[in-house]
Amino acid sequence: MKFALKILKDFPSYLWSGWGAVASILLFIALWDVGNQVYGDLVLPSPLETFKTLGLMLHDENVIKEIHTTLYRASVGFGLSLLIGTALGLLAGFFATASMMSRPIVTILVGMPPIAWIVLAMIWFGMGDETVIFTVIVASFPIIFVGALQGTRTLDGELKEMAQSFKFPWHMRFFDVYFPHIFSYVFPAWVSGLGMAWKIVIMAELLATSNGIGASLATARSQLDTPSALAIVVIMIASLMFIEYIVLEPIKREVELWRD
Amino acid sequence: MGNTEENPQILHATSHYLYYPEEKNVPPYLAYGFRPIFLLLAPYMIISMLLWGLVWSGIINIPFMDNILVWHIYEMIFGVLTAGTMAFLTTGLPELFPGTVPFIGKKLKYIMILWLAGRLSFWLIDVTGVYLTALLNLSMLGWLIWFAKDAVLDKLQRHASLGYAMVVLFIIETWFFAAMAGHAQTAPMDILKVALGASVILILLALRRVNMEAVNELMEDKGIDDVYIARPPLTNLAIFTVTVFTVVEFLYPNNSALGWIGLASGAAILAITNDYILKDKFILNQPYVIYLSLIFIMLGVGYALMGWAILNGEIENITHFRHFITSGGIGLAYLMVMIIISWIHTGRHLTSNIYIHAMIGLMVTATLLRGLIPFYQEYAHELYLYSSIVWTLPFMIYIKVFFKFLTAPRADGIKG
Amino acid sequence: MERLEVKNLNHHFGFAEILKDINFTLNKGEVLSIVGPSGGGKTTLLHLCADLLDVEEGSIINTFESSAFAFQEARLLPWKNVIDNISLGLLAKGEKKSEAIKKSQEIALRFGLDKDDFDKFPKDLSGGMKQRVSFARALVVKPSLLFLDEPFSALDIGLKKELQAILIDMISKKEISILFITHDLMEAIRLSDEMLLLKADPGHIVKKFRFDVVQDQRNDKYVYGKSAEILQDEEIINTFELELK
Repeated sequence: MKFALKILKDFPSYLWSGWGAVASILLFIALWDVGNQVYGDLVLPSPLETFKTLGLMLHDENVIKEIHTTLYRASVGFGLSLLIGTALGLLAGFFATASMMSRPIVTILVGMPPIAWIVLAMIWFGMGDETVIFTVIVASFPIIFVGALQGTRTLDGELKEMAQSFKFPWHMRFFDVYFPHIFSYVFPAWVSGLGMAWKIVIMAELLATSNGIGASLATARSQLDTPSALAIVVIMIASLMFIEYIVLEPIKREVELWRD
Repeated sequence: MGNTEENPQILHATSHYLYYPEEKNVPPYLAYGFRPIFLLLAPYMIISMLLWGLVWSGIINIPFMDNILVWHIYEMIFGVLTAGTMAFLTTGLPELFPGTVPFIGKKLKYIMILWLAGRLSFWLIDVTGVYLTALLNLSMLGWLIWFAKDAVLDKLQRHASLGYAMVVLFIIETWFFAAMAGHAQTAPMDILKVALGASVILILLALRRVNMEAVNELMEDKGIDDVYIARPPLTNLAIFTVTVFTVVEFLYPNNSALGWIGLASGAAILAITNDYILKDKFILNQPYVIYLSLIFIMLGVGYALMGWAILNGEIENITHFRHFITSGGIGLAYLMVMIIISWIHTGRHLTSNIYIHAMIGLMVTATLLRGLIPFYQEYAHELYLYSSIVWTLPFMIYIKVFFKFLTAPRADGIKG
Repeated sequence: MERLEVKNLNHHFGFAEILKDINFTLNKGEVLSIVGPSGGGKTTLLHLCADLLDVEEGSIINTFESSAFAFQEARLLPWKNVIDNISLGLLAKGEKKSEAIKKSQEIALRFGLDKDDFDKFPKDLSGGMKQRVSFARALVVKPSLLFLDEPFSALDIGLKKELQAILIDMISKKEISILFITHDLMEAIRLSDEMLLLKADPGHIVKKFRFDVVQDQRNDKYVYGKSAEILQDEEIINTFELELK
């Protein structure tokens, strides 16, 4: 409760610190506008036109339905990797053998390009939700797993000894000594896992389904409807930026206040 | 600033300079650079702005002047800029570069006469001709650059950017007079817009130093244990966007990209106010912090509104919104420099009282009256007049509060 | 009578013999120091006494009611502020949160910390401040036995004196018993009633010294005099290999 209040209290100044970022994004949009003037509307619609299209799309029920579909897939996929990845990562972290064993497997998972997973998933699950969700899981799971693993592996022995010298009861050991440390590793991993999930869900939809934002993107491409395509891209980037910088980053800052 | 850290045992007031010239019988109003400047600048602001308001709203006309709009803009950019810069440099350089001898006495008097002659010559430009005006005004700015040469040639280049900005302004002013005399084809008005961009940059650079001094002095005074640092990257981003805006506006005044650049400039200038959010202590409730941040807010809002006008296809409103930058941002910047220097460098504490609140409040009000005309077109004529009258009030209050300080020796008995 | 009794203690790490046949007793109200060169098994011995390591051979009987440990490094929880760090020991004892905070603030002020520092995280503290917090955390629980692991070794002279003065005050009021290890002879002479000399490879006690003047009467002259005297001792020279220098 106190923690949530602190986040809210620091939120305005955090938001205000975003002006520099806003400035550079606007400069980038100006550059985009120049690109439009050089290459024409078909190749690169102007930012203004794109934003107008975006406004229309957000008032279109069908588009909202597609967004919901994509959100559902991304959340199920990410939610599952969050649960499984964190649980397995913590478990592996507590046992030296398990962490030794899991490292090469994670390397394989990370190294495998998502596009390859999509192809396999299409063969295994066909065209539909399962393929997309599966791809999201395999792409974001390793990131979260490694975060949780690192968190437990790097627990400070000296602090454990301190806790032992003061005869901390088990709940203090967990909440005061282990949890903050592990969480400071796991939370950033969740954030990057979420980013990965959001990017992968669109890609998987584009290749493997007939609905969702990714599929809309594919349609826009086939109809050479560049304003819609760009508007979808804007939706994707804007929603990711919203979640990452407006929702998660303030929490992360508060959680990591004690860090250098 | 620098020498306070090196010699903590010396009181802050005495660290403003290392040497004071030997000249005898210096009257108080010539005892330091800023004194005669502010004694002249405050009345000059009042007279020229009142006249402008009356002329522009059609109440009177000035028979001997052909292009009254160019006169207004030139005087409000270059006429006032030379005075403000001189006050800043003659006061600031001995602090930024310990060892620089303060500029006082007879020499100061002659330079002030040169500045006055420059003002007079522009009023009479249609009588006495462009060349005399150009000579007087360019030599004033030229002298300032020469005076600041130590800053430009400084090995560490800590404050060289100020010097470079002045050189750029000198080139722009030369270009302006060349256009006035018919040697350059560009419309003088377009050149003045470029000059405005350059002076915004100069002001951003100067403000970074003023901010550091004023805010830290304030916190020391109030026993707030924290350090304010104006971070160069934020100022540099603002300067970059303003430069881009100025250049693009000169080349493609109607281009939609300019709209986005305007918004970007607004955001970049607002970003500078983040420096006021300190790590440990909350200082946003300090009056001077509010005053100073209003400068950035005015400048930022001005650029953002101009950008918005362009994207909205209402380019004719740009000139109104530009007054957030001129009347608002630049006006406040001059006012703040006048107030801060007049307190600290006459040996007093940086104080905020009802007068100072009123000065800032009136100037913001005047800016809103002028800048929001597009939304109240039907009252345009009244607003032109009222805004210029209200804009002069802060300077009248300045005369009432500060002229007695400027004409008397320092309160703490130190020379200067 | 509360006491700590070490009998026939041996300890190995793998095949390496660390401690051999250690015997001593620390009675209530006494200060016992163990000096010796680095790597001589001092820390292992202290950890065994403080029950941070399991005893394999021999026995350690600890009948003190309560104990606390101050480490060579401060070992503060980086995610907790100064007051929350100090109150850890109290909370572990089951003290009420509000009460623990109050006691922690009181002792923090006594240890020269400012109100402004209370909310700071360890990353914003200097080394000396961290050590103050660490001391406050150990002493706020009012332990009857305090274990010190070279806690002064990284401090400047001023802070060292200040913290030692607080301890000496408690010692002379018989409020506390201390077992501490150090490689600084003068420190041991200033604080302890009895000093054990631990020689390395494997660690064994070669000599015991007693100091009879009460701690708050020991001035610099006494400490320097005793140090000079002890530095002539054959065993000391051998243990610290002084003749090599």
